[in-house]
Amino acid sequence: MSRSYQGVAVCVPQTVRYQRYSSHGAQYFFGTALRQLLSASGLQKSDVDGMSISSFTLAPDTGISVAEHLGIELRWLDQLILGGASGVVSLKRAARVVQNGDAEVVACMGADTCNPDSYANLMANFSDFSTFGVHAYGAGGPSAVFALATKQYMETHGVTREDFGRLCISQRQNARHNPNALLGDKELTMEAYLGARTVAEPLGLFDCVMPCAGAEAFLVMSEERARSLQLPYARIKAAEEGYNAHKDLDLPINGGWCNFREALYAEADAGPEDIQFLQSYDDYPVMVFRQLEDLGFCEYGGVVEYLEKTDLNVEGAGLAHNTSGGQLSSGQAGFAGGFLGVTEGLRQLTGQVLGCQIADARIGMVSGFGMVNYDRGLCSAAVILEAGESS
Amino acid sequence: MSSSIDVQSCSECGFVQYPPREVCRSCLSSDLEWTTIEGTGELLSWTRLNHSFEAEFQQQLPWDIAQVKLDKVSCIIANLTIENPSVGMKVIIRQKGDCDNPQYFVVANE
Ligand SMILES: [Zn+2]
Repeated sequence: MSRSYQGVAVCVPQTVRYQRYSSHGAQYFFGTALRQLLSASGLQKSDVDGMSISSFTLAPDTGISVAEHLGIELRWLDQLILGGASGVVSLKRAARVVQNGDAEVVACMGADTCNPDSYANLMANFSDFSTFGVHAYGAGGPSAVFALATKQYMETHGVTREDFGRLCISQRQNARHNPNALLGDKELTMEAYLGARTVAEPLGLFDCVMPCAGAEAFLVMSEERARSLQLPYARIKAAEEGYNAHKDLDLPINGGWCNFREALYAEADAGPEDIQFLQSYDDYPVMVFRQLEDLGFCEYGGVVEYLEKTDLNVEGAGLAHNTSGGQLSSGQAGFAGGFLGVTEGLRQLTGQVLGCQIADARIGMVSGFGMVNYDRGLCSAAVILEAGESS
Repeated sequence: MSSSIDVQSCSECGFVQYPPREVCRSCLSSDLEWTTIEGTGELLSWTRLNHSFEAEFQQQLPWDIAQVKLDKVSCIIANLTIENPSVGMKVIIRQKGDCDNPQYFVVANE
């Protein structure tokens, strides 16, 4: 049985402007995202018959509440609570739904609001394991767990804070023309990176994403439909997801991409050398390092050497990486952070960037990672996208 | 404080697990009991928290925590009370409180 996504178009990348804090609820961000999708595509609300949504701050409302709130009638509805993997998985599932004919046009949206209390409340009640085994030690929230993972990685591979700093600085450079990046106009120097206040050793302020409010969204439909609407689109060459990988490993650094890397490249009939850009999940720099290893861009423990010879700048000749600046520059708008890589990948492939455009963008990868319920992230996903014909 | 700790074990297959669950992570049996194991293990990693969302911890910052692999069960996050910790060193976890609401402390194994 073929695993191809032939005939499916992914298009209309939309971003609801990020804000540090908002007095609006999550429904505002879903509503605004849908409005932008319709306006940019020329479709009516009645043309959208499928919806896939992701949000932390929507609770106690759910996906069906969003349909009611926005007054939209649907044939297919899905809600994904997969953290930073949600965007890639949403794309993957919506593509199958369109392929099967269960829906014709699917709106995929990740949205969250943010206020000074919402983040702390979320962290205090994230999961049973977290409450029992992490929160009870003052370590609620992801930074403590990723500090443990980062320290362990640094000791194992001889990586320094300067090495992570160079990555953060390259992402900030990519953000400099992106008006949606909350930190885009603030240049990051090595001195500022190393001198920033410590959150949890060895993590400093600029290793941690800034929580904010916002939304990211896109549409999935048939290529035929996209062409008739004259929408530039991307095609899915291959997509994979995996959960609870490495459940028996002792080391806190875990990804899971390695479990499906070969299948992903085989289905795409491509290798890491063919990938022009990588939108990785950058909740913490150490996870970018792990994605570069796990997704086959370099050897395990070889990231520093790889970065010495590979330009990650969006305008460089190497591997354009987190071309809008990523979450480390834009802020993390909750679940929208898990959709940011997908929308930015689509922007590059369809010539609709917010900031810098890669020259002749034809093929790229988006990777997602999420849900630290106890001491490790449990969801990983990746997709290889290529520019569609009408782009 | 005891240097042995209470963890959940499966009456059917003997699997030892942490954090506690409703069923055995290995064979899915719900016949679970508390068993006492030696708290000896290895320091996987540690960190000094300079920030906490918890009011009670905010007054105690900076606060050290560690991740420990015990000989019998993997990856327990615990309070760290070693002055010069290093990754890979031999440690002991001590338990304060009962098995339903334990607090773990990591000390050096000398
Ligand atoms: Zn069992």
